[in-house]
This record gives sequence, structure tokens and C-alpha cells, in this order.
Amino acid sequence: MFNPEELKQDFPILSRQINGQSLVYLDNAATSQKPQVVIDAISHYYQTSNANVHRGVHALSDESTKLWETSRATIATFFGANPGELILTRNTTEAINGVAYGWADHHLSASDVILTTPMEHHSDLVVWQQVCQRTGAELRFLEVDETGRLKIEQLEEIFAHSDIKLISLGLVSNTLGTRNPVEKIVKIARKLRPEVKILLDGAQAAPHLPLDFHELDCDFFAFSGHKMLGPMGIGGLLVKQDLLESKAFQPWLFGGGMIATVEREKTEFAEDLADRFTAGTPDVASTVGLAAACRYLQQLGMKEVAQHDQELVQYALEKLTQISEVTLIGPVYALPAQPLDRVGSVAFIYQGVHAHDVAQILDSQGVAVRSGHHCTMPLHTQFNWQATVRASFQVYNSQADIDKLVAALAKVKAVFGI
Amino acid sequence: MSDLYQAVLLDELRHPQHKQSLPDPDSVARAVNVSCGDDLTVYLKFSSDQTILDIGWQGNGCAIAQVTMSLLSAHIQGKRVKDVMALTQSDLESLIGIKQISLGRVKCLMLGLEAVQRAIQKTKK
Repeated sequence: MFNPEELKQDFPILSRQINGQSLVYLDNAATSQKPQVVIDAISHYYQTSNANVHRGVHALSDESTKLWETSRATIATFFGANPGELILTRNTTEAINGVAYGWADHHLSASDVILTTPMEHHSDLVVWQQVCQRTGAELRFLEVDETGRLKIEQLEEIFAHSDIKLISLGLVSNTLGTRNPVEKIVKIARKLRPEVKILLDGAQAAPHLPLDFHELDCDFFAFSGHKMLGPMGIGGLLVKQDLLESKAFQPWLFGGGMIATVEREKTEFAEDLADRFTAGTPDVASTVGLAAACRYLQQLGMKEVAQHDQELVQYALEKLTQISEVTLIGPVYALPAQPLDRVGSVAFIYQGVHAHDVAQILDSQGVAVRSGHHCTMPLHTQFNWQATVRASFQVYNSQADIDKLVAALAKVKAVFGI
Repeated sequence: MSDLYQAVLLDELRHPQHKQSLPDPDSVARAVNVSCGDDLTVYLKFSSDQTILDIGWQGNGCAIAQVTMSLLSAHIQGKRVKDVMALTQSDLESLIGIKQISLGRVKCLMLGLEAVQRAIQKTKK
């Protein structure tokens, strides 16, 4: 098992002082910091191998193409997918939009239903609202209960009364931290309606959990590189190979690189799957950087990464429940005979002090957290939370960091004289 | 931070000025900060000589939004409408005694003034 305090040495930014205090970075659900190996991979690419991929005959173009292809393979393999199943995007949002334009727009029409949840990040909600406007499909919700868990017992009933064509939900909620029972949802959906398509938003799961695209048995899986130690501006969409080969899933960006032959009036798209979904020059440096991040995480071991996260989440819940002003949101206690279904973060309300004020005082103590609605406005509205404070974790966070968070929260009490 | 949460500001937060709705206002306007749910409503009464006769406000928000709203209310009472329309971010910073507010808190600082100026604009229509 790795030692998070030692890992801090791998992340240059973590040695910074903020407001005269050592930085305690607990805003990882927004974006993670980058290890030196990722920073080096990007700068090394530009220093030694930069050239446009494909179609070049010269040595550098060849080198760049190989780097891009091996990096794509590393990223796909990290998620248990075939390289042909990986479409590189800028981030999760772009990946989800890809499913809207590449699949939903071609297959949905009035009377079809898209099922999602009220705990989705806006990136997995606004996109479907737009698809519904374009296609006439209807958006329905699998509701969330007071403990921050989905009312999965209602799923069969919803299926009985709706022509569900697509289910789209997060594997882990960015606000509640809930690890949704997607395996159960996939199983029920496959049994009741084998043709239903399932998209998992993996943005908050990918940094913390060992994941296998084929075992998850979803059709689409979206993720962001920057939340899993990789650079900003690179992410991906995994699409089941048969959907790509049958051309049920279609390209949504058009132009150079994604073609086989172009005539004046029409174009045949490339048969090669990676090519067909890569219109224009790809972000090779970021792809190389994300591959370096995948290797870094693989070396730590994703099982160990997940275990480390669980220890931090448990420890944070234990410490925060002892503060009387703190009301935690999302799952705090495990369901009977099950492990705690919470991953990556703890969010809370501090009674009597606005979330922005809490975050500002924590910042003065060097502790970086996020405050606001975390891009889940409908969830905040539903539970009547004006704004919440969220501390979220990564491999380099330790129990000592949570102790510093707790100590900084005492400062909130002191400043506001509660 | 020490600037931001001085005892005087927190005292203002606990005892806000003008925090009540006005009966029969000449204008009412609301400003909302969608990023955090801060929500202020301002009630204005004007004199015949284009000055602010009375102001009231209601709503909720972070300490910065509420304290600024409170101090702003006291500041603009009796002032000329024209001068209130000319108030800027730096005026509000001086009002609450902060040299320069951090980028992430500008909206909190400006929310009350936004509501006030919106209420004035409404009457001009």
C-alpha cells in the first residue's frame, strides 16, 4: 500500500504555500493535481517528438503517430476497453454530447424516454434536455432518497410505464459522493429491455475505482483525464465495439482525418474506428500526458487507490460527524451488510455560515475546498440546500489533511463566533 | 481574510441595517447569484427631488453579500439617484473596508448594488 505523504513529493504544486500555510488540496473532484511524470511526458513530447500525426512520411510524424497510438492503447486498456472503442474528447461533457449527436439524435423520437437521475452533473442533464427538444423524446428521473441514494426499487415500475431507450447516469455523484448501484441497474435494464442503451458518466469514478468497461456492460462510458491526474483538455468516450461497427453510433465531428475518400458531393468515412472519430488534429501531447497518468495510477494499483479513498472517506465522515455545526449530505452510513456506497468526497452544510464564507476561511488556512452547487442545481433545489461545501480526495491526500480541514473548520466557528 | 471577516463586518451581519420590506415601495427588484443561490430583493422609495427616500431589503446570502447590502443601504439613503447609479466595485470595496476583493467574491460584493440599480432602472422605464 502506498504512502500518500510520500506521493506528495511527486506533485510539485503540493509544495506551494497558500496564505502562508502549506497547501492542503481537497478540491480534487473539480480537478486533480498532476504528478511530475505527467508534466514531463507533455513537455518531453513537445521537446522531442512534436509533429502532426498520420499522413506524414518524415521521421517525426512517424514518431508522433506511434506515441499517439500507444497512448490511446494505454488509456483504453486502463479502462478494460479495446483501443478501437476509445474516442478521445476534451472532457466528460464533450463525451456525453458525443452520445447525443452520435447516437441519440439518430435513434430517438417522440414517445421515447431518456431515464436519468436528479443527482446528475449538469453535463449529464442539460445535454439530454437539448436532445429531448430536438427529438421530442421525454426525460424521466429515477428519484433519489433522503440519504442520497437512488430509489432503485422503483426502476421496474418506471420500465413498465415508459418506453426507455437510453439510461444515463453517473457512476459516482460529484455532490453526494454516492456510488450508484449501476451493476444492478444495468442488469435490470438488460433483462427488461435488452435493446436499451446505457451511458455511465465516469468522471468521478475513474479517478478512484478499478473499472472494466466490458464488465460494466454499459454501451457508453464518459470520463475526464484532468480528474485522474492527467492534463486538462483530454478525456474520452468508450463506445461498445458492435455499436461502432454496425454504424449505429455515428461520427459527429467531420473533416480531415476521419475520411476514407472524399468527392465533390460526398464522403466515405474511414473504416478504422480510431480514425473515423478523430476529425482534425488530435491533442497528442495531452493524450501522451493522460497515458502517463494512467501508468502512474496503474503502478499504485487501482485496488489500492480505491482502498485508500475508502479509508479517507470513512475517516472524514467520522471526524466531521463530531462537529455539531456540520450536516453531512449524501450517504453517511452503509446499508445493512454492504460496504459504504460513497466514493471520493464528502459534502456538508455548516449551520449558520454560508458555504462561500466557510470556503474562504478554510482558504485562509491553506485548505482548498469547493463551495456552491457543484453543477447540480436541481439536486440542491430538491433538498433546499442553498450551497454546500465539498472536500474531495486524491491519492496524495492523507488523514493528516483531513485533520487540517477539521482544524480549519474550528477557525470558522471562531471567526463567526458560533 | 482578516480584512474580510473583521469583527465590525460580522457585527453588521448579525445586526443588518434596513433588512425589512417596505410597505408600498416605488420600486422592487431582485438579484440572484446563480452560482451559490444568494438572493436579494431591494425595495426603494424615492423623493420628488430624485433622491432615495427609503430603502429596505430582504433575502439571504454569504457574509459578503449581506454585509455589503446592509452598509450600502445605509450609505444610499438620502443620496441622489444619479450618484447611486454611478457607484462601482471600488466604492463598495471602500464601503466595507477591503482593498481588493478576490475574483471569486466579486459577484457576492456586487449583488446588492445590482438589485438597487435594477430597481432604479425599473422606475425609469
